[in-house]
Amino acid sequence: MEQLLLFVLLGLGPGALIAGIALGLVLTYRGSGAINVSAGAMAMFGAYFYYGLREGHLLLPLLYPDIGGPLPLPVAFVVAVAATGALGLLIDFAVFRPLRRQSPLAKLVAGVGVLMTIQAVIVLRFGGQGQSASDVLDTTALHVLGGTVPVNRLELVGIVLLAAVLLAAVYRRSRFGLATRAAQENEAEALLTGLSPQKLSMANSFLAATVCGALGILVAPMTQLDPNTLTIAVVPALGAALIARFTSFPIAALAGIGMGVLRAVTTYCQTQPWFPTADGTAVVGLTDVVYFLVIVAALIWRGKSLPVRGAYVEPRLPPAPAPKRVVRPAVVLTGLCVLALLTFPYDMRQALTNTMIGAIACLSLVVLTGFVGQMSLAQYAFAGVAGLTVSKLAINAGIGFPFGPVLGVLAATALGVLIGIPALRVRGVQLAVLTMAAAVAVQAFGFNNPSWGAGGNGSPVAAPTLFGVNLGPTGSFPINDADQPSPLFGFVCLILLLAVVSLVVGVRRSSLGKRMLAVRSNERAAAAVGISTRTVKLTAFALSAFIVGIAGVLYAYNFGSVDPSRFDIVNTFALIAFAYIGGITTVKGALIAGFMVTEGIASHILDSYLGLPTNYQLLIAGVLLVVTLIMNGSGIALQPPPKFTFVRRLLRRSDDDAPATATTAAAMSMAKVGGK
Amino acid sequence: MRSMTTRRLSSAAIGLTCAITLGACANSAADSSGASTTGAPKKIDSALGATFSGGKSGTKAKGTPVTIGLVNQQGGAVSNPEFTVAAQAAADYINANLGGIDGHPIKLKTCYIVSSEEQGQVCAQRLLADRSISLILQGGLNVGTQSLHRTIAGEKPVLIGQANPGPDTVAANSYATNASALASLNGVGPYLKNTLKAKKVAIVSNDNAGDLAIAKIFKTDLESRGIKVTYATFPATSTDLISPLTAAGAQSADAVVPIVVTTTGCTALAKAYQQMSLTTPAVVSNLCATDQIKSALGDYPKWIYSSSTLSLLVDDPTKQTDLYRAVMAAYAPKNAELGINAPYGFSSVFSAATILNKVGYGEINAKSVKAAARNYTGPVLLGSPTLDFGSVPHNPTIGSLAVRFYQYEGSGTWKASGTWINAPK
Repeated sequence: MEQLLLFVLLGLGPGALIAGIALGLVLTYRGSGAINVSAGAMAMFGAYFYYGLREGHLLLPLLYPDIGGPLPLPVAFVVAVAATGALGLLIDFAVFRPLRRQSPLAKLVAGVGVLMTIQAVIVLRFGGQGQSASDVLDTTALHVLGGTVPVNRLELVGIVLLAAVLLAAVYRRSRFGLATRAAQENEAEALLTGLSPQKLSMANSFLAATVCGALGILVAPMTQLDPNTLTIAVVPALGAALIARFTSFPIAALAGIGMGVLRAVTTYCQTQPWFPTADGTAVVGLTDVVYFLVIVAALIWRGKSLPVRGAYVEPRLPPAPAPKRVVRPAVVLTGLCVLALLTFPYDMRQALTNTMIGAIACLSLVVLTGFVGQMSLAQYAFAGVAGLTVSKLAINAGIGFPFGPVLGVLAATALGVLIGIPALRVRGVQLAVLTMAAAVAVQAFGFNNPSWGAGGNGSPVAAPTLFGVNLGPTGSFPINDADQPSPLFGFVCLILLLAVVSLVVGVRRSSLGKRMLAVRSNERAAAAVGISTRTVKLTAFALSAFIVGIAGVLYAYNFGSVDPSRFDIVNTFALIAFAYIGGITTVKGALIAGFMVTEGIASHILDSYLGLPTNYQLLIAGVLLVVTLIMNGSGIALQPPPKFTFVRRLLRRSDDDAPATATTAAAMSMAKVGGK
Repeated sequence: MRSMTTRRLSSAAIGLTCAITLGACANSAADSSGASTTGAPKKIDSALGATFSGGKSGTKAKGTPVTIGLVNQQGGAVSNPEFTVAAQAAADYINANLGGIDGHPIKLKTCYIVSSEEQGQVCAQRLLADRSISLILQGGLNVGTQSLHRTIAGEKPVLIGQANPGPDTVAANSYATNASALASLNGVGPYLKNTLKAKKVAIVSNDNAGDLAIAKIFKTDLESRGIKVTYATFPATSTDLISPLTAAGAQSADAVVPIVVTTTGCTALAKAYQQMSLTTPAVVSNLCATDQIKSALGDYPKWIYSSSTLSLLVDDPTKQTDLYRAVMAAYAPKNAELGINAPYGFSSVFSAATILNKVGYGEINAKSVKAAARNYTGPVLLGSPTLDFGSVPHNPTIGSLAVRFYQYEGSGTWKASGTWINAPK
């Protein structure tokens, strides 16, 4: 018991970090309706800004000037917190304000872009190695319960809880808090009463950023000052904010602290003889599984099968028009792809292959999010399960191609249905975070496990062979196969892409597609006309998982192995970002997104042919992501084709000369006639 | 109006992007945290250098270059540019003073893995497709290792300058001249048993699959020597080690064996030790003896550092560290990092030169280089005195698990364990 209490105390520190970022998430959500996944990055920025001031430098995007000596602690703290607040204002003004009327998914993707940008600026200035930040809080330690508990952990918990209580009081009782709630519930009505939702959003963003910045400064000395630790802490913080429904500060704080305590207690339990083991060592990832189950239980218990009357209606996703002319573009594109596979150099062939696989993965989001409006951050978890199943079946049961991939895809589909069950009672951003928790649990408990997961060496995947023919990247082909990848593998990907496109187009045009759009549009109305929202949602999850399972199998064959890091939550964020920018509601959008995926055609050209320096790729990717999102809120696919206005004006000018000349000639001849 | 606002915003954003990019370019003093080469010997012992490169001292290389591929992780949030910098310095020196490869200069063709599996595949394909490359050097990779090795699939020999747990240890036609943290696998057990007389040991590792595998090897080995082991894990994304250290009984153990192989992990360990006021000896990788830790904590932690390379902080009677420091002072950019992954990059180029010199310029192809690499028995500059690829069970790429231990006693005093432990005979 004593030991258990000790670990409860030890878990308070990490829990306070999660809780603090969760408070920042709730603040931003309440102000702008955005899930700001860059909250951890802002905490990291605040910590580095403070670090710079204490080293005698000012951290600016362009410069790192010497300020003549280190600033005293209190001054540096205040300035760093204010600077982070200013960053929050900038992000609100430049990023979330233009996206105000966009869907929560758009704002989430924008947050990813901001995260990448902040992280890139820090890496360019300080590198990837960690620094040791100077202490702010008390550094003494308490020797209690047979262990050592640093006092600064307890102080941090106190600060976070105090912040939560203060924020709760402000938002419950102050005019600012009431105004924020009003704007969150109904922006139009808030405007009518004279409130400015935009100013409220800015104020909340400033507050959120200062909370995160202060937290980062206080926490960094306890752990590590590096570009990753604080940034990635947003993942468990999202879970804590979700339990609080992105609304309650005290619940978010308590949930965050609880998560930290749970992890510390699990760490202790690992060393006990009764703790489950795998391959001689304690099973890892159980804490993430528990997080997920707690979140599911909390949400399902409080959720409703249909949105209640008067419930906040989130802004809609872009429209999802039915594809009209499909055959001709499909034939043309197929022809181009075939030609490319037969003639492109090896690197562009690989880029095209990555594009096709990426497009398949994005099509899974078109079905789930574009047609049904369900947000899922578990796509790569499904893909990974498919890939791992292929690998394990081949190794352990001798089941290879083609049965292995079929079973892999079915396994992904089953997992998709399972994770879709909570979607029946949870929706919107809450569903997104729930699925994220599921993905993290699958990653930690599944893929990382040395026994049933991919293991330390990864899980190898033999090339797919049919009737003695190697269909994988190392297969032979009579044309253009001097270097990997084999065009034959490209054809396999192309055939599967065509099949998936046909499937998605078919779904969209069918009555199922219409039912899906009805559910997306208004669940209550859809239910009222007899549509089973439950069946539609589960079908969407199943179809989506099926499609991304195909991508997972192709990734496995593409790399010849399953590496857990391929299917982590960071890559899922990237996938969603590409899919959204391309156009998450249309097949065309998914194909465009495929061009943009990592080492897809577009990014490969930027990297290898335009020589984008690797040091700046992260920075430019982050900025371009945000800019593209702002400029194309519905996705590139739904933008009207370019009008080439300048060219048309030019042409019109030359055409206009002719009528003018003719008119003049006519006028002149009339004048001559008149003058006679 | 909205479209005009959007256009203005996008113009501003693009302008800002350019400004940021240019500004970052102008001020990219990113990670100049390395030890300076101030105090490095001014004279380079080229005769010594020649013994490690297989070349001729005092000879300048000229003519058609010999291209060696180099894959390294850099440019992203986890980045080891010092490996490449040191490798290039070594290549420049060998070209200028040791005759390159049979009189021909070494040219390094680099490919970087920034942060994704796809980039490992791209690098592999690029280096495979380049017919002028018959040997690939590889730095320490945290991502892209799987795809790199599965794509190369033994078609060309890979000289792994710094092996990490995972695919590096089993990849086909790959030869790890330095096992890095893996070198501790065989050495730590005897050291704990015989030197520290440990009866109880605490092991902590993150839950990354590769580190779990290493921790398991340690646990099994120590338990086979009659040492009681308590083992705790922590999330790979966490840098709070107080809970796992407490759970593993670090306070009452005779030694702590943390599986930390990055500066980030080492710093986190140091912070935990500081906050817990822990005095239990920790046996850590020499990657933890960095200037960042020293400047942050005021001094190196008084730990025991296991090292698969010669320590730069201790006098080296063989003068290899003097050679290294002198060459880096002359050929690397000012303030280049000397520690972390730099020694591995430096020595791997010398090893490559030895292998290629043995083959001879006119005979260089993937097959002949493979044979020469397989038969390369060292010595590795700054590293193991001997190599025997295939001698480590279940890890066929590892040439040596030779390790040395350096105990830091404070005030600049280091106590070395003597000679290499576990070098192949």
